[in-house]
Amino acid sequence: MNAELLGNRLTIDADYFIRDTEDAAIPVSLKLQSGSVLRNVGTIRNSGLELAVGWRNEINRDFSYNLGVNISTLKNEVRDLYGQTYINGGSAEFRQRSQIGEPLLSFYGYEVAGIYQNEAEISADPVAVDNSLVPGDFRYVDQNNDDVINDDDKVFLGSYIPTFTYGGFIGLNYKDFEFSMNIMGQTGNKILNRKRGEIIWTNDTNIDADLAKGLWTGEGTSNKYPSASALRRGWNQNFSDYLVEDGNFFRIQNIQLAYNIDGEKLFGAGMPDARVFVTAEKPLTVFKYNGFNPEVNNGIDRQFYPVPAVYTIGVNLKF
Amino acid sequence: MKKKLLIKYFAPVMLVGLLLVSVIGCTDKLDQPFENESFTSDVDYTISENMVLPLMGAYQGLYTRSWEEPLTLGIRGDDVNAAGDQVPMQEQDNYMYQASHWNPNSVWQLHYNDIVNVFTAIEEINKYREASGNDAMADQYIAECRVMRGYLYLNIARTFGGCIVIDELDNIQNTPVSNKAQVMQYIVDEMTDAIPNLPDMHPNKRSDIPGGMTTYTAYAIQALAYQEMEDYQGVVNATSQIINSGEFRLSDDFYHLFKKAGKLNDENIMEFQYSDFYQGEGDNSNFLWAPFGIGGWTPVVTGAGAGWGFYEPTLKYIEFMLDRGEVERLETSVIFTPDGITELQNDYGELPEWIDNTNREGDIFNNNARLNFVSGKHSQPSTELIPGRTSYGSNKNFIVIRYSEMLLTYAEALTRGASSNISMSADDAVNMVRARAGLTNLSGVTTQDVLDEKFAELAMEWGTRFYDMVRTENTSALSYGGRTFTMDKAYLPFPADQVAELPHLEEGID
Repeated sequence: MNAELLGNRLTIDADYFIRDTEDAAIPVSLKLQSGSVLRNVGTIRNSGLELAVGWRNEINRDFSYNLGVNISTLKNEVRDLYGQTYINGGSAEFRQRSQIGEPLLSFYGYEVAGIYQNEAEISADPVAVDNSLVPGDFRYVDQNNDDVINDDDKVFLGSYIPTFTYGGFIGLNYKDFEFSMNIMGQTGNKILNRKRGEIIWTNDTNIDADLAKGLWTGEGTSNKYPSASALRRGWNQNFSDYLVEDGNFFRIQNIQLAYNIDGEKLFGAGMPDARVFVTAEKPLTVFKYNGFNPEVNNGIDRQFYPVPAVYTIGVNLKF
Repeated sequence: MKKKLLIKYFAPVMLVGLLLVSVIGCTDKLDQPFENESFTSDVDYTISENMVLPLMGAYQGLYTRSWEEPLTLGIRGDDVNAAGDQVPMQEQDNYMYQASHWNPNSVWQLHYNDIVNVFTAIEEINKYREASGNDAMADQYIAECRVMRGYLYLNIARTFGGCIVIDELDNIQNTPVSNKAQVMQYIVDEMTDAIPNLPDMHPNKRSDIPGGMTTYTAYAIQALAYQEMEDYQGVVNATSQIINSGEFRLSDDFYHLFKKAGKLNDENIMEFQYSDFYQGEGDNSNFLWAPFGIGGWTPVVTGAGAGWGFYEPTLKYIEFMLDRGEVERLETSVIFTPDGITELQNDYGELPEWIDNTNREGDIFNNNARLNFVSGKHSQPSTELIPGRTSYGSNKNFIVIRYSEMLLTYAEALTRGASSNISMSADDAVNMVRARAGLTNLSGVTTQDVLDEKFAELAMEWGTRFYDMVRTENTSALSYGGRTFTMDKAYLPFPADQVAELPHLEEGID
């Protein structure tokens, strides 16, 4: 749906879409054997709403502005796997799974309920007793309440595909000054902090500051992070939402301030026009994720470098 | 006039159109090969010497084992601890099984890969048979394939307590699950069928495929299957064929049996063979031994690669051996680190003087966070590396079935009342094995004596000890070091991924 209203000052562009990708190439496992054959037999549905609103106005000869906002929602859903119950992805230690009704390659593991704080909590929980746990270890959610933590307690922990993305821009013109800014962001996606997870294979990796400062060091110190020694024990190395973090972020994509100089008018005939500007590219990204960069390929962070902010000062001369 | 114009106008358009159709036509796609199918139409099946090629493919499949397979098969006994960073293996070592564990799934899949591979090889050999008319050769090669397949099923059924025995490759979905006894009977029957067509000699005497399958490999696998069925008369019948052949001999040098000198030894009945082809670089064919090794060692040959430290002989085994006064077999089976020696001293007391953290060749084994003891049978001294090769254990063979195991299996069956047509008694068989280990003779051996001898002799090898303890329902032997074993832990659950693929696995084994 498109609309232009109020003397073309307001534009609205709205789309609702349901798009089925049929005959998607998915791995079809060989019976009994290892390996799979890629076949064009999967169906994946993407549905959502896209909305873009723009507003432009000229207050007077000296001052005009325009604004725009766009938002889109996205629901990704596996619809058909050629009769397969699920397709495993990721690796055995960091399991992802495509299953009908869930987003493609969702993270799959235990949910952390908290940290065992003291011996009393340990002895009160048969799960902790059976697995010889100690205070500082993870307490996983026993989804089926059978006092055993096993495959039946694994759940989908979210997907790397964002459910909501948004962007916006603003442009101002005042006399010879121009100002513009673009922003963007997304929510609803998860990031596998695999950099944190790979401690299981290494003796001497760095850990991120939030984890280092937040480690459980005694009763009441943390209900989120385990103790340092727990990181080395198999129980706590089970794949859980401890390693799956929100991927929300907001970013100022760029800001520009420019001043236009009319050379002829200012300095007389033959002088060039000029434009002086200051630009900041990606000067600000706001995110809670405990990595350097929330934009990671397919939601798996195995060490991404931070995004550099680039500041530019420039002059354009037009002869 | 108008008509003429029309023709004049349309003729070029039609021509160009036709031309386009011929250019973009898709008829040439019809000539392309089908997907997912291999083509053998260009193979000349009349050349009977080439019949060996599909057989070699089957051997290659059998020898190409992934590191996690022997580890997964080996870690559950009271001879081995799972060490290292593999949580599933540690859990299995403690009898905590989960269907989602990746390594049993891998054992399952990789074994079935090779079983399917055997089917394909047999099919190809039969094409050579038809075209070349060489029936005798085809019969022998197919018999070899069936021995390999029997061995693979033996592993799967002992691990999972049953499996799908494939009759036809395209009927897997409808093939019911066989329980362990059924699989063992299938293996016994397969070996009975194969034996008449196999070379009747020691594998190392074969000139066509040195170390390949022979009559006696089939008898050995049949004996192991009988043993799982607790058909001890069957065990004696099969093993006495091996013993009576005179083809096999215990190596005088137990230590070097597991080193380079032991390749194709007279003691080896089945052996996975690997090679660096006597070259310091270039092609090689090797098993990944690193998981059996230790992370920190000071090898005599500088640059010799270290291991991962996943496979640790248990304190229980070492103390069992010290109690027996064993030297040769303990030295061969276990390599000590300084921490390990301290742990032993604290737990056991004074140790014999010969125990130190150096092997015979001078490699020094240092302390390691993952393990205190290293499996010596899986360790190759750095001095045996071909110069230029640095991977841990490069060029080392993997012995699968040894004559000593057959002697002890025979002896145990006799102690359980089976009768033998050959003169060797249970005492004789056990004492042959003991003499080689430098121990004195026993007389009137009991079943327990034989099982102890097997523990001492075969520790760390392929889970043999675990299977023995499961077969004899000796839960107390397997309940050690804080673990508790119950008989419902005898078999790993069918891997979750397999059940998802073949739901009738879920109905399980009757």
